[in-house]
Amino acid sequence: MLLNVILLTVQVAVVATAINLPLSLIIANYQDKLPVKFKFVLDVLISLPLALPPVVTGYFLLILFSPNGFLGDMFYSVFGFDIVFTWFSASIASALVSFPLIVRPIMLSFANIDPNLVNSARSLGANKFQCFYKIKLNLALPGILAGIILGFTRSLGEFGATIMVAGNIPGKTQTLPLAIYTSVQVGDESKIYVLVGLSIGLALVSLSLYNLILYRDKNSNKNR
Amino acid sequence: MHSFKIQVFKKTGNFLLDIFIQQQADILGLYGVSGSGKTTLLNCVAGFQQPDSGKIEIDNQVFFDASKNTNMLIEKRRLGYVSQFSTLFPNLSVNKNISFGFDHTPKNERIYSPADIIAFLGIGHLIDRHINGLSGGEKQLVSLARAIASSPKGLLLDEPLSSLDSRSKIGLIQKIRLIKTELNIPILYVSHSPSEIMFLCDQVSVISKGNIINSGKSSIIFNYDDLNNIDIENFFECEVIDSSNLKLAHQKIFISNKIFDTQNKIPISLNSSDIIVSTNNPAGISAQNVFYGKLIDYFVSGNSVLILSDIGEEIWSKITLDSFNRLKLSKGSDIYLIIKTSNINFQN
Repeated sequence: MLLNVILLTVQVAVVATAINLPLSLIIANYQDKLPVKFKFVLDVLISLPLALPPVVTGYFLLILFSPNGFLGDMFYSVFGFDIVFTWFSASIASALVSFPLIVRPIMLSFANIDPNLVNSARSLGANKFQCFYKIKLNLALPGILAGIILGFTRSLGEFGATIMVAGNIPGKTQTLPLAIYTSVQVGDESKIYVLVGLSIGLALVSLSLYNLILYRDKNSNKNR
Repeated sequence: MHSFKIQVFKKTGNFLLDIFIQQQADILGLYGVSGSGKTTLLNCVAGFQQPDSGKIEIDNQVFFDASKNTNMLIEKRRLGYVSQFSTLFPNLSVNKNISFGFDHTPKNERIYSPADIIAFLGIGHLIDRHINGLSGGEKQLVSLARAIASSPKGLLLDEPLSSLDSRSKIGLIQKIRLIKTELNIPILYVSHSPSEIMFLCDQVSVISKGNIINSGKSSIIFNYDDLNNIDIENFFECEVIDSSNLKLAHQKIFISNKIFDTQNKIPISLNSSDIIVSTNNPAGISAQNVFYGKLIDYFVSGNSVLILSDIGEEIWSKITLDSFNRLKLSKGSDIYLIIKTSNINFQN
């Protein structure tokens, strides 16, 4: 049971991060090509999940993905099943809530790449895609890793949006925070301590990795 | 000689770039003060910026032609670009930086291999180094090597010497001259330094406030009034033979007894004004170092003449116009350079 909760939590967080990563890379890569007004709107939209209560985010997702919702109806007609109250809907909720945390460091690291390096690479015969994966991805790697870890960590702890759109179904959609919530509700103290300990452990490992990356990046910048 | 036909019209905010250049040169200089528009022009040639209208053509290869909606992609132009700031990829080693351009050049268009270029520019000792460990001059040499390894149709050099010390400047000038004579690549050289243009470019266009205000032979365009004040420090790496002799350009150069704690090469410098020029092999003189060579080039300004000679290494010397005329010097003249031991400066 406990193992199932942990595996589901990690699965939801991995898929949420996998949904966010390509989108973050695309936005980061094209941010300097966007008109200033559009970039302003994009910045607000990207940050919105940070400002909104996750329950509100979850409510909007529930409306969108419910069988009568625009995306829910489309999803059903393509895949033949409802997306709400599945582990995948928990991943979508986690992805939306953690998106600002993954996209921000990636955007920042792309913005810090000297455009002359990219111009030089192209003058040496590399096309835009080759510049992207041979130069930009390498130079932005610390920011990309930091974004992945922050987003992944946030997904591990996602509660409000997830319970709205995926419910709290043991063995199906019950992630670590939801399991803690249930244990508190039923007063299962020994289980609470284990789950809270696990939650703290996962968060400490993730944040230690994040700080390690920042420290190494800072040192390598000093040496440049 | 290469042909440069550049017509660019570009408005950026309140700044208007309206350029017309049509010149034949091995190295075409683009001279102007900061903010005159020379870097914007170079960016248009490279394809980093797009002109509003005009036509850019080097050696009959059209890179941009607004009238025919031609705007070649940057990577298709294959114009090697070296700027004043290092654009070496910090995530790659020196070797991989140099190979980058070669790897992205179509196989049937590859002329120079990285190994050829590394040997040509004499940077074999750098290839295993990390970019972060290179000096400014070394970075520019590697940038040049990387640009050439892409077998470019032209080189665009945007103030490549401006952030270097005088020793690195002379070294890089010699390498650029070598590229000019040996590789026959058209070079567009941007600078705000008249002396750099004078030493490197046979033709120059002077750009001011977005317009070309003068163009022609660099020796005619520039009135080298300030040449009297230019002293060039020649830098060499000499092998140690013994405590009294070093090896410079395959010849012995005598030094007063000096203890070297290394068998490695010793850096020395010689000021251009400290070198005596003779058309005959002098005898019965106190100076012990006499080098035979050929006069490659010279630049006259006021009462001074800067002479570039080949003694196995390129070396600058400076004499008065009166001496230059009296010795009847010209390009290709046989000359002897006399160097007093006391005028040899040790760099370490």
